[in-house]
Amino acid sequence: MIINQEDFNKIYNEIPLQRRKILHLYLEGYNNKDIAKKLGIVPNTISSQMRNIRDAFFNKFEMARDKDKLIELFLQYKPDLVSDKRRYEIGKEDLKPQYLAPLNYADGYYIERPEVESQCTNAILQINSVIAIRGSRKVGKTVLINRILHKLTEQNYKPINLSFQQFDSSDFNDLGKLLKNFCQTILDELNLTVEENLDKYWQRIGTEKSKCTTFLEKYILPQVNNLILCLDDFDLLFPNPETCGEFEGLLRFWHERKTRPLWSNLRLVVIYSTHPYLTLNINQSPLANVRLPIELPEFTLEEVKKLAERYEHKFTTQQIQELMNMVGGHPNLINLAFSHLKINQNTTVEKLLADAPTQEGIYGNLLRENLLALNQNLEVKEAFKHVIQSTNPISLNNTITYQLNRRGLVKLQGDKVEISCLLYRLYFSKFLTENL
Amino acid sequence: MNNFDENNQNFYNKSGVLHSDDPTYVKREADEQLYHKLKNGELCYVFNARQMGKSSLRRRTQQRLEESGFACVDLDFSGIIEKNITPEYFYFGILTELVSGFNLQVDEDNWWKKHNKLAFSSRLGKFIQEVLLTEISQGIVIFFDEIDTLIDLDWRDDFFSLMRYFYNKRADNQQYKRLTFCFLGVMTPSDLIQDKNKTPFNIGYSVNLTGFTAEKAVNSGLIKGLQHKEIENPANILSEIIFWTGGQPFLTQKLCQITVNNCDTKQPNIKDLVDKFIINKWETQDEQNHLKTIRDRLIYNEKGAENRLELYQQILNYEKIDLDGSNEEIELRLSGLAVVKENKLQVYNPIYKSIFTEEWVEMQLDYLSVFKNDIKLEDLPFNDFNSKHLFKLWGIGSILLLVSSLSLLGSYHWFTSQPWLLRFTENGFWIELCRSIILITFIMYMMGIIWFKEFESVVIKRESKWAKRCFWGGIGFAFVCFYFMFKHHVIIGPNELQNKYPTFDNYWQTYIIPYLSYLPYSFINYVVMGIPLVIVSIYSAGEDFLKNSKMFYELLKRLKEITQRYSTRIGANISVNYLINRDFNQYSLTFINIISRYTTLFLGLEIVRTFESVWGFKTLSDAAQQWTSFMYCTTIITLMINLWQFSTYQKILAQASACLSKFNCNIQIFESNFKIQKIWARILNSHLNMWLLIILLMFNFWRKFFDSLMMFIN
Repeated sequence: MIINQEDFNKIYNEIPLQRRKILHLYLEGYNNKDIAKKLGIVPNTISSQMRNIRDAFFNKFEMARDKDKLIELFLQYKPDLVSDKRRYEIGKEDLKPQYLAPLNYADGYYIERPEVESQCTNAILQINSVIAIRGSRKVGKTVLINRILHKLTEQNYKPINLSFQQFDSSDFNDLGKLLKNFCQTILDELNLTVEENLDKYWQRIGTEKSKCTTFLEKYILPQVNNLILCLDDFDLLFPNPETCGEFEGLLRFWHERKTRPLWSNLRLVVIYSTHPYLTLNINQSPLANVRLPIELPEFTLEEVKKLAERYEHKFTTQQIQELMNMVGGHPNLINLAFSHLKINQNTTVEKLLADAPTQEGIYGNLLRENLLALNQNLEVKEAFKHVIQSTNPISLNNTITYQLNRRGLVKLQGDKVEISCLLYRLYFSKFLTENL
Repeated sequence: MNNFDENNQNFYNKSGVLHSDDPTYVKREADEQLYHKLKNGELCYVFNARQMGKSSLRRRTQQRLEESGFACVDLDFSGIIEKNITPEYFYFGILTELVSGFNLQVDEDNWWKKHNKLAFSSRLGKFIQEVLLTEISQGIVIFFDEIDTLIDLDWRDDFFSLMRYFYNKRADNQQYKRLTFCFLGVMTPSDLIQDKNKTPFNIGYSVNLTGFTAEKAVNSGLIKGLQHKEIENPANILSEIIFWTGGQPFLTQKLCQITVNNCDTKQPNIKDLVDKFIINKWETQDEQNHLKTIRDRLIYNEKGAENRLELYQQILNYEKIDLDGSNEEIELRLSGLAVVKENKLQVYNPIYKSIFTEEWVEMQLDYLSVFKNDIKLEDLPFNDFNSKHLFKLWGIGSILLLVSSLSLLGSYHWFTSQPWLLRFTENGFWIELCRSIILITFIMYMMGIIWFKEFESVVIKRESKWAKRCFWGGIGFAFVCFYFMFKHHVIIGPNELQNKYPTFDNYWQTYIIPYLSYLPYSFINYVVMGIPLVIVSIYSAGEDFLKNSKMFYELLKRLKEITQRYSTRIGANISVNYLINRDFNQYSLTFINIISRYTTLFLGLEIVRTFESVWGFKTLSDAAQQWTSFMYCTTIITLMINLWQFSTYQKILAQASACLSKFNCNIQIFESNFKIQKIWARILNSHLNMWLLIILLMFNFWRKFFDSLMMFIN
């Protein structure tokens, strides 16, 4: 489904008044708690209402469902509703509309990657492990998994994709709250009703972990067969190592429970960009023991060519090669370039590439966002400078590697890292050194 | 749901627990042992390293037991235990798991609430007794997996004593013979035992889980994947794989998978495959954290890391060593790195040997020794510094000051006499009050803040021999001091005064009363403040001297070690240079830290001395002047001890540079960085006290110089 202005207005006008109020407050920059206070309702209602709003705009499995996307959508079609705070938050303060990749490239311009897709599908269905899908930021993980899950619904599986973006990040250091929200979200996603109120259920005795397990066992698993539980944006949990450790332990525990009939058909998938190596608790078997990692690769030359055809671009192989020299095979960067060239017919690949590593180029926003992030952490910044200056892969400490890799700025080569593409080297060698 | 087709890319399960009907499962002796022991109702435990196939063994055994009519449940503690777990949640968690595992028709919440009069562990006991054993009529086996998560719980003994209780009950009640337990985890029984009488482990049977042997592997499903690949003589290839992995289950599966996925010839070269896919850049290739877990168990727990590494070093050196049953030995075995074969401890397999090499161990050891020398935060004086403490100091200071000023008021105003004022001048009151303020502030600061720890250990705790001696020495000194003081104030002082100004008749009122009222002031200055200062400063100088010499010997030992270890290695000078510089830097920092504590003392003393020499001495009687000088001299001891420390520093500096020169390192830079002038400069730079001290000394010197010049001219 491609959203245009007309469709947008239609959907927008169909939103009931109360829900629209919530939406307006959200776009103004209030968080769920504040909205709840303002309107005198429970925060949980707000999150489920927001979910309904997102559902209305993005058809269930067709689109990444994170909150930023909603804001981006409004920026494009009803920009006056979005406050400066929200604009700033998503790093699109002075957004030039033509530089935005089409929101819906996922559909029209999606490049099938049958090999990767079937590898993931097979892994999910056949291999007795917790499947971990990895790929750097915006490499198309969510789109891919949504497509796979969508296909699996046709085969009678019940997939749910839970993004950790749906949860309040302030809950991440409170395991109980997180697990409760987790259960609530599963209920919502599956449209299940439970005779016992979840709030009331959660007041019973028992550890948070065993409450969550018992809840799944009593209320969810008996009602749903072939459940696929997919946890997107698992990265968000990593800054809270303790919760993360407990959560991973729980996943492992559920996995081990597969010998029991009720649990045998539960499939677990986690999605993240890169996993930091944490030494949490040596007295507990790590999740890594039962985890099967699948790396989501960047585009190959062939795939980029295919994408160019989708955009009806007539590029020579050399032009594409040059583009790939600059940005590698990163789907988001390639897509941005192609969509820009499509909208502005008079620009050329050469001009685009010449402007690319500058503030004014099409990647300006993205680069600035990264620059901002780097400037906030001196240690990471210093390390990144070394990466830029060195022509060979160098080794950095674990946390720094993790942070750079998460942003897609570096690639891993063995236990060392190197810069991920020429674009970053050109831009940051100029601006990082200037900024000192 | 599992696809066990040999064609499958993932025929070998590279991760996690093998399904109970997985064709690649290799039967070991432990399979039969565990099965038969449990069937006979014996309590068993399987304690071994990670990824040795404990959980796979558990699944297999569980299935076999179920097939022969047992009711089993696997109870994985990692799903119950979380941070700050309370005993109630723990036991209730176990109960919930039992209800769900055995499909019991019980509402566990209500049951739990109904029995709220019982202690938590007895509630679980009652549940097992009344519900579990009545509802289920066949034999019951409960597997407690991941038992190492219990290690953080202080009250874990209760749980184990409950387990033991069931065992002991067997004697009187046939019912309990049906119930048996199996514990699995990565730990030693001694980790779990707090109280020897409560543990069930001395009545249980320990199942020893070994790796795969070549024959067992060849006769198992493990070979099928290789056969399918049309590899020539798969049995030989499998034996070679077993050679490389030592039969370690996880690695064997992994290597089989690697072989199947990457062989394009009929005779794959296993050594190359091992090099390429396991050893080379192992940190990134180790997706399942197998090797990282071993590393972590070896070094992350700092306590004992050095001993573990040293033992491992020994194994590397001698290939095989005798068992001694030490903690380190067990820890090494539990990490999976070492294994006992034919009663000798050896490295599990050649893969580990080529990853955790001798160089690797030395690197880790070198890093560990940094932690040892680290300045710890609790050594700093401001550790337990809070407002309450400050108020206390302030209060004590004010009381002392109040008493002193009352005593002064008495002798200079209320009970004063002409001779007294003549002797000690009209302004005496103000001068003496000034002295009192200076002394009290100075000593409160020294005793309450800078040397609070030492003060505490000498005056309040008196734990060490040294502290005791100093304390009693101080008390004795105080008595002597008080005796002389009393004699002076009552007899000698008044007599002197009378000899000097003999014209007044009322001896008692004119000469003795002012002196008596002056007594509290003297008492505070000399006994209450002076003596503790002297004692504590000597004590702490001694302590610091000991600390310094301990560091001196440690560093000396380390220099020797480095020389020995690196002397045969080519190109070692960079690492030697780095190590010595780093360690010496650590030492010099601590050294400066120690020395700079005394700068405040010397500054304070110099301030007092200046005050006395300019104004104060006039107000003191001759005896008091002598006493003051005597007190002042005792602190010279402190100064001397401090100067002595510099000589040790000099010695170790020479040693270090000698060591560096042996390795052809650049000595000039090292010496210029750490030479004694530099250390002085660093102390000066970081301490305003030192500058003030120098200014005061200069001031006093010039004053004296001008005085004598004037005398000379006159």
